[in-house]
Amino acid sequence: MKKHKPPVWADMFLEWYCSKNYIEEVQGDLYEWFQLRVEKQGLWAARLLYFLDVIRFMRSYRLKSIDELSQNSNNIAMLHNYLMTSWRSLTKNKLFSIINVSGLTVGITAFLLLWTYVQHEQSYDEHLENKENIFRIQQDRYNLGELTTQWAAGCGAIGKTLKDNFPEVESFVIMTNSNAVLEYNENAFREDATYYASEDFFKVFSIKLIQGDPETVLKEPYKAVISASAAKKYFGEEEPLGKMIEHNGNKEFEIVGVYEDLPKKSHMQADVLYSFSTFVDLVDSEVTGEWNWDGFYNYIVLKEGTDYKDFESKIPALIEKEIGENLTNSNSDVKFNLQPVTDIHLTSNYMMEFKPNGNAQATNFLYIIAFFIILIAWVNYINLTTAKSMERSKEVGIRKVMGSMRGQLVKQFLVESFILNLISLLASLLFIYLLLPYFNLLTGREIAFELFDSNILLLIGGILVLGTVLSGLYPALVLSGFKPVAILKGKLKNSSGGKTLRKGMVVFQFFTSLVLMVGTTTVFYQLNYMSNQDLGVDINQTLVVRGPNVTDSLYSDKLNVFKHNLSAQSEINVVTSSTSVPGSQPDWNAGGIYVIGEDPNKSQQYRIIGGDYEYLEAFDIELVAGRNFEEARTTDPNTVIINESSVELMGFKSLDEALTKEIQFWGDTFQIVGVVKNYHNESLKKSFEPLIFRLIPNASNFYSVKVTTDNMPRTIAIIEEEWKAQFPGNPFDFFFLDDHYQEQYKADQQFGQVFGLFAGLAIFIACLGLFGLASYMATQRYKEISVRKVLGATVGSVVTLLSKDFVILILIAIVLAIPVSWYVMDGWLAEFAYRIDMSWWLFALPGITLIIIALATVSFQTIKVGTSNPVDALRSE
Amino acid sequence: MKGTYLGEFEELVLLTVAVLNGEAYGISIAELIEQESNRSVTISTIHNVLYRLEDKGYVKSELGGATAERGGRKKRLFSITATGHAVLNESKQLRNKLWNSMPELGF
Repeated sequence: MKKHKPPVWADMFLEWYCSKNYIEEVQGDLYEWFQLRVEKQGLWAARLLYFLDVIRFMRSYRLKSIDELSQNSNNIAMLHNYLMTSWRSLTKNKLFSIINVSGLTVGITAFLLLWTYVQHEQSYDEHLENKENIFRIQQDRYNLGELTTQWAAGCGAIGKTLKDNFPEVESFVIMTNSNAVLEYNENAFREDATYYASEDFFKVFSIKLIQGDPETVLKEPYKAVISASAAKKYFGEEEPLGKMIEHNGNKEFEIVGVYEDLPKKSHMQADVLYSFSTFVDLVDSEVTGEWNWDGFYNYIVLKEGTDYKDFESKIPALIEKEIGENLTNSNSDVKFNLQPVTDIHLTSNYMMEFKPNGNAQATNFLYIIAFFIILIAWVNYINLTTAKSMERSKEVGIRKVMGSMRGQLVKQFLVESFILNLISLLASLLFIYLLLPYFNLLTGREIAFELFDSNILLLIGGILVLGTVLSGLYPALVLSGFKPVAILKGKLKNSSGGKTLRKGMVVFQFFTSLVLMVGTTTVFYQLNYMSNQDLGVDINQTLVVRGPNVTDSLYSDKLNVFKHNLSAQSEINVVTSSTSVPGSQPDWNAGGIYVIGEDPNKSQQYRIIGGDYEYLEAFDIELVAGRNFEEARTTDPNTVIINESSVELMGFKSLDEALTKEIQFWGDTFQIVGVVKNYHNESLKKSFEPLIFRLIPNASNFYSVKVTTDNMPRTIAIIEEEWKAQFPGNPFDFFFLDDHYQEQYKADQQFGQVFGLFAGLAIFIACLGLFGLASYMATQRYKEISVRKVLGATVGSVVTLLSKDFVILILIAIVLAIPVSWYVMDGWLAEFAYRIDMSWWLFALPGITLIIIALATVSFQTIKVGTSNPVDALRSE
Repeated sequence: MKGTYLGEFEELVLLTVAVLNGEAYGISIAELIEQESNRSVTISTIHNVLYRLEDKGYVKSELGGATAERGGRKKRLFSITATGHAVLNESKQLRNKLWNSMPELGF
């Protein structure tokens, strides 16, 4: 009988894993079995089954044990030894290990959280399939050569004109917001994020249509496509297709499609989309020919490989050709910039954004902080370990005498560093899962930490390897470099080079902490400054109801009844209706306004607020010249009130001069009858904008109710009841004006909180390091201190002596941190029109705090040494 | 009876070990089971069961009998212990008792 051999690889694998206690019988049986199988089932089947059997035999009790492995491999034996000694040394110095691990854990947790946040911010709109080629056209308007307005949503004509004139443009989408109350079967909601969108929308943006044909859904007028969640809101489990939904009570849309909700990580937010042809029908104008009508989002898709900057530079010539004459005549200009769609979230902050976007500067700040924090944590490890090295020098000496090579010692310390880093990393991952919900609350985002994302895995691996090497290598080299004879004779002194490095690292840690503290202090003082400024307008005790969308011909009368009935209530002072309220930019921006008698070509843009007779009084806006609108004067609809900024912009020399002038406003003439003092209609980031108040007694956007009440719920109930009586079919939406105003600072507040949190963490880590270092110094100088005490030194003088070194280091850190933080924070403050100055106490406060924290940390150790009995230290010489 | 529980397959293997009387090792047991019960067994399962039985003290083993087709590896030869025999016996008694008390069903 010819003897066949089982597969070699399978056999080698078996021999590799199988313990010697089992290999005899297992391999013997398998061989015999194999031979039997060859006879019965043929060679190939037998080979295959042999391999399967080898795998089946792999049970844990048959695997080689560590001891068994180390008999064959010296490296594995040594690794075993390293692990054991590392574990022993970690458990021996428990306090020290805890300081090290907690420092690293906090550092890694902070780093990973910030990293995921930054990644989140930078990955908006990445889901779009054609993202490299989609651009939004942003529009800048100039008057008399000066930049006046910057729009996210520009004029109606630009998209189509580009498509018609340049072959590089594959397609375009035009969109505009619709202010809507939608109703289906008595189910009415106010919808802020609904838009008219042209037919190519679903071709350009890869948003999945669950139902409906992407080619045709947005083609015909009075058709709408609805997001999945909105469909659920209105129709529940019913089939949405074919349903009619009522829009502002005066028109109906047929639902012809349902799309997947837009991802949260999109600059766009749209719950319902109506066909743009509807809008064209409603306004009775081909919007794509309008060059002076702003408020339209224009997106274009460029052909693959087109350089968009190159393309952008061709636009001015086209504009010149199309409307150059008009622009020159009105002394104005308009420029268009292409925004790559993936950049919009972080770089775009113009008029009429879909939603508040992120801030590239703040994001970059946080990115830098992330790296600094992890560096601080690593520096901590280096510092503590090298400081602690004295205690382990005897161990190193003995090991060397016993024949340890330097390489082996380095490995031993690297293994220790690896273990510490690994423990910290695992603890961080746990913390991240626990803390992420709170972090999301803080940042106002929905960030997910996906551990098994390849980037995250790579990053974590990187942190582990880099952390081990960076933080472990230096101590490893220092420790392994000791001369055994010197150590064992007790003559070892730390090199002065090592000391300088350690001091340098302490300075670095405190420098970073201080910069972060100054940053936090500045942010909070600025926020505090802004909320304590006199706004010039009274926004307290004001409840704002959003006006009705569904109205009829009796609207004005009903509004009067509403105002009258509410004003009759004792807890309600006054009700005023207006087109906008303080705390957000007036939607109404009007260009082409000029003073009669002046050159019409010197027209300017103004923000317009339409209000009733009570508007100025209700908000306590001060008149500095002229009068308010008066109900008795029938000519008042043809008058305006302006603010001081407008007086300046119109070029009047005095307030009284303004009262003698008339202005031309979109073809009508208006007499200026009053001037109000400048007030902060918007956040203090902005300077005073030129405002014009027009008398619009029945403005329907906002009804502001000034209340004096100690029972807010009851007052709200009264208002709601009156609302239901006068404006049935309209949802009752209200907000408090002071909250609304504060909303403008939300991003800054979040930034301040995040900044403060991580500053705190950085200080915590730095103090951990300082604590460890102080305890080391104290043990080092134990004998010296004892001698001093024997010679008559007091506890106070000893503590001073020990603390002095640290104070000097912190002072150096402060001196270095001042210019850096001044430069950085001055840059941040430059965003604000009304800002605090960088004064000395912004540095002094954090600086003194830092010194106090540091001294408190250090004093634990210094006082312990200072009060100890010198005999304990000296008797054993 | 606690602690002397025998699984169905364990009992089968234990019986086979007793039948083979000193010649029982992985392959011979597997072959006999395949032959008698017509069911296919994997060799690793037999091994696992044997170790389990050994842990329980029902079988004992020694190394010996290397042959050429085993690549010169020794066999682990199993033989039944007195306890093992008692357990088998007990199990058989139980069955007999139950069989005897079964009424005539007339199948």
